[in-house]
Order: sequence, then structure tokens, then C-alpha cells
Amino acid sequence: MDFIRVRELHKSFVYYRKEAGLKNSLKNLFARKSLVKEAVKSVSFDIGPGECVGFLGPNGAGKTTTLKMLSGILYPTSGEADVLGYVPWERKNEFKRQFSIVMGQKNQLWWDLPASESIYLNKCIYDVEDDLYRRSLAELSEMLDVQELLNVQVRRLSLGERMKMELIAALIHRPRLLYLDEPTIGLDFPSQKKVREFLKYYNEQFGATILLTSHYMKDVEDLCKRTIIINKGSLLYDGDLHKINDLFGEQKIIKLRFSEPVAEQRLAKFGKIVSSDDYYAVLELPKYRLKEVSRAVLDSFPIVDWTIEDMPIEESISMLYRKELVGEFVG
Amino acid sequence: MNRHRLYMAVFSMGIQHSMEYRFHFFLGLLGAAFPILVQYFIWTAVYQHSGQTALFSYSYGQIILYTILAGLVSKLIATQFEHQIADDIKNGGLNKYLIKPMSYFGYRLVSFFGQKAIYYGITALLLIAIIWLASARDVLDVQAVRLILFAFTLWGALLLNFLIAYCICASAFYLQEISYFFVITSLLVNILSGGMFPLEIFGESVVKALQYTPFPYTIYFPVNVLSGKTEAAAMYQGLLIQCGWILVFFWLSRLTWRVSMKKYSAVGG
Repeated sequence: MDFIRVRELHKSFVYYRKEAGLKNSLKNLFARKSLVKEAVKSVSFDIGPGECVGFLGPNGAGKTTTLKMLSGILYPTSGEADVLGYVPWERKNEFKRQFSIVMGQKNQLWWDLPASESIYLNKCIYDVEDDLYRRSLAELSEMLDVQELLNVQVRRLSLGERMKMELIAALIHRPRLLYLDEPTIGLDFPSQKKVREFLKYYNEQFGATILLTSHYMKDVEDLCKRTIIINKGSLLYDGDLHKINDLFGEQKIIKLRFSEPVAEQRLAKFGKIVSSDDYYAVLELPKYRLKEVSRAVLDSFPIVDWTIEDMPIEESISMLYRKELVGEFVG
Repeated sequence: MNRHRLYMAVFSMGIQHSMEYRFHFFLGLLGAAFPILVQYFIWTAVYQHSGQTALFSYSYGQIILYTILAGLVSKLIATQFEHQIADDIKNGGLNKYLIKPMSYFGYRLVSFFGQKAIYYGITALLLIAIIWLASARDVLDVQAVRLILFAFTLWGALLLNFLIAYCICASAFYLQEISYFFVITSLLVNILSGGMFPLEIFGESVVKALQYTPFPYTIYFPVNVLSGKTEAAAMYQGLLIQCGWILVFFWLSRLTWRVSMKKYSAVGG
């Protein structure tokens, strides 16, 4: 049975546009032009139990809107969703007990009180038994290394510490489903790493299903085998993160270092020049030309060092964003 | 489900929250004293220059007692969550309550009572002192039944004022900039409730008209129950009407919020 089943989900917002300037403000006072923004356009996917899925897309792609619909905060304009056997926007308490949503940019803890108070409040909200509560709190705070900070007012915590507290508060009732909206935004590298390791552990230990959005590729690479990519509200890709490169005919990158200066024009015939200065060049070329080009380059230039690499995943994803081909790559 | 425990936790967090900013807390207490002092001087001057012993059917002692009691009561029942709620609505803070198996209304109500708890205790102590002083000066005829009814109406006033404010808060779903709107409405509600001065000042017809609104039942009515201005029969009738208004506003607040929440969920927060 699928954990999350989304069919043709659609959400449009009405908004107003105002040109700059006082004259237009006055004009707007009397006649506002209303426009419709299609935030999410017929998105469909399924997620099985225990899966950890990365949800990618540029800013404004519709990721957060989708998460809000799947957690019941927003009603869709049309379409269906079945999450854990419930329709999320009916907001049944039995449904709410089984999931959590953490938003990196929104604070869910009581600002003026220690995090332990907010966590205890969540314990009461979700009816967590005393014994389980104590064990979970000890375990979660130890893993995230924040035992000492539980009794400090939230407003005095750093961003990273606060995020860890948010995670503890969100997981104290052991939800089977976890939505994470940019959980590592603004965190330093050690904190990002800690949060990632923690999420991985939670996913594996409790078999929790995770749907994660992030702009840090490392988050998605480390945690999620499967990736769903949307842009401008439409689904672009659904599949293995590392197979995205395949979509672009398997481009390869050759990096060359020379002992003497080499003019850029001389390299042009071997492939697309990504960057070059006199002693260093990066070429992009299709995989089938790899052998031929390597041989030719080695023969014709004073090479001291060279490497062959895959296209960086970020590059492929950026290319995917630009393509905007609806449904073309949905596997 | 163990809702009792949840609301105990919310209540206790409300108390802690009110004590977190100690200076703000004491300043709030002090803040109640200033309007009372100002009014004290004004009324003293008015009575000295009028040469009459009673104005608007209040003797000098009675009007001062009214001013002090109304000042205390309006401070006690004052709601300060309007901006928090408006902020929750505007910046999506409401989302965190929507996804949890609890009611936002219940949470706000209990948290409000929690935040008021200490203030209620201190007000009770002050009231005991004032009642004792007033009876020693023969301004007040203390009767046990009036004291008990006063305590009841005060709780009713607290609840009714919460519900009125909660209804007004729903306007934040529709208005973009709300801060001044709240200043105006709370001031207006306070004046119409008799928080500034006895309603008799507005004239008999206005007092009559206001009897058909919920406002007098938050300040004017409880104070007059204690001071003896309200006749015995009218006290019980008033208590019933207060309960009636509480029910009406309970229903109204649920209705306005249900409708507004639909809009919120449709357009996003």
C-alpha cells in the first residue's frame, strides 16, 4: 500500500499586481487587476512507506505549496491526495497524530520559553506516554548533542541549535511521516551534517517516511535515493537522483593542466570549453567522443595532469529547470 | 485522550510567559494606576466646583470607588493577544496549530487565562484592600451575596471580553494592516463597557440602549454589582444576560473563525 498517493493536484492563487509609482497606487485603489498564479499544476506521484524522497525545484516552484496541501494547511483547487489513508485537508485528528512538518524558515517553538516547555507541550498535545516521552527526549537530545540547551530560552539559541530543538519537538511523538521544508537553511556545515545524519538515523531506525525539500544538493544526495523535481508547478522528473545525468546524453567533463600556455582556440574543436586560462582548461563533451578526444588531447598538448569526471549533478538539475518540458522525464 | 493534562500545560505556560518579562509585568500593574489617578483628580475638581453632592446619581465617594474598581477590572479583563493572533494569521504562524491535534480556540483561551492568573490574584488582593477601605469610610455597604456574585460576574466578564476580542481578531483574515484597528476597537469597547467612567454620563437613553449590547456586562455591570448600584433583582437578571451574551459570542466566534479559516486555507498563509 502506498503511503502517499497524489493525483492531479492543482493549486492556483489569485493575486494583484501593482506597477511602481504613486499614480499606479491610486489606480490600484479603484481598479485592481487580479491575476491567477498556478502554483501547482496537475502533480501526481506515489511514495511508499519508509521511503526518503527529495523534493527539488527552484524558488517559487511550488514545493512548499505542495507540502502545505499534503499536510492539510491548504485546500487544493482540484485533485486528490491520500496520505496515510486520510485526505489531509479534512484535518482529522487521527491523521495529525501521525505526521510532523518542520519548516526551516518558520519557528514552531515558544520564543520566550525554554525549548523543553514546547517539547513538553507537544508531548501533551500528542498524548505521548511518560515513559516513551522520557526515552525519546533523552535519545533525541543526545543524538543532536543539545542536552545542555533544553532549558535555555529559545530566543537565546543560535539558528543551528534552534533547528535541532525544532526537530526534537517535531519528532517527540514518533511520527511515521515527516515533511521537511529546507531544514538546513542557513546552518553552518557541521550543523548541516549533524541534522542530515540525524534524519538518516530517524528514517532507518523507525522506518519513517520522509519528504524533504532543500537547496543543498548534499542533503538530498545523502538522504534520498529518489528525487522528485518540479518547476513552475509542474513535475519534471521522478526517479533516482544520480540518473538525472543520463537525461542529457551522458556528458563528461575533462580537466586538463598544461606545462606551457595553450591558446583557447586550439581546444575548441575537442568540445565545449567550460573554462580555460593559459595553463588550465575544462571541456565538456559527450561520452561517445571521450576516447577519441582524450587520445587527441594527450597527443597534441603538453599535458602535466588530467582527469575525467561526470557532470556535476547541480549542472544537470539547472539544465532540467531550464528545459521546462512538462512530464518529459517522468520515469 | 488526555485533554486535561494538555490544558494544564498550556495554562502553566501562560503563567510562565506572563512572568518571563518581569519588568513588563510590573509595568503593566503600574499602568493600571495612572488612568485611575488622572480620573481621581478630574472628579475631585468636578465635584468641588459643581457644589452638588451627587452628579449622575453618584456621590463623590461612589464615583471615586467606581473609577478605581472600573480601572482595575478593565485592566484585569484586557486582552493583549490581538496582535499575536493577527501576526499568526498574516505570517502563517497559524499553520503550526492547524497541523496539530488541538484547537486554536481552546489553546488561546486557556493560555489567556494562564497569562491572567497572577494578575487575577493580585487584583483580588487589591480589591480586598479597596473594599475594606471603602466600607471603613461608609462608601460601600459590604454584603456577602454581592461579593460572591461579583466574583462570578468577573469570571464571566473575563470570558465575554475574550470572546469579543477573539471575534474582532477574525478581521485580520480580511484586513491587511490591522494594528490601529485594534487600538480603536479596544478603546471603543472599553468606553462602551464603562471602563473609563460610569455609563450614566452619556445620558439615560444611551444607558438604556447599551443594555441591549454585550459591552456593559464586561465592566459596568460587575462593578455595580459590588458597589450596590445594581438592585438585588437586577443582579440575577444581569448575570443571566451575561451568560446569554457569552453563549452568543461563543457561537459567533466559532462561526466567524470557521468561515475565515476556510478562506485562509483556500488562499494560503
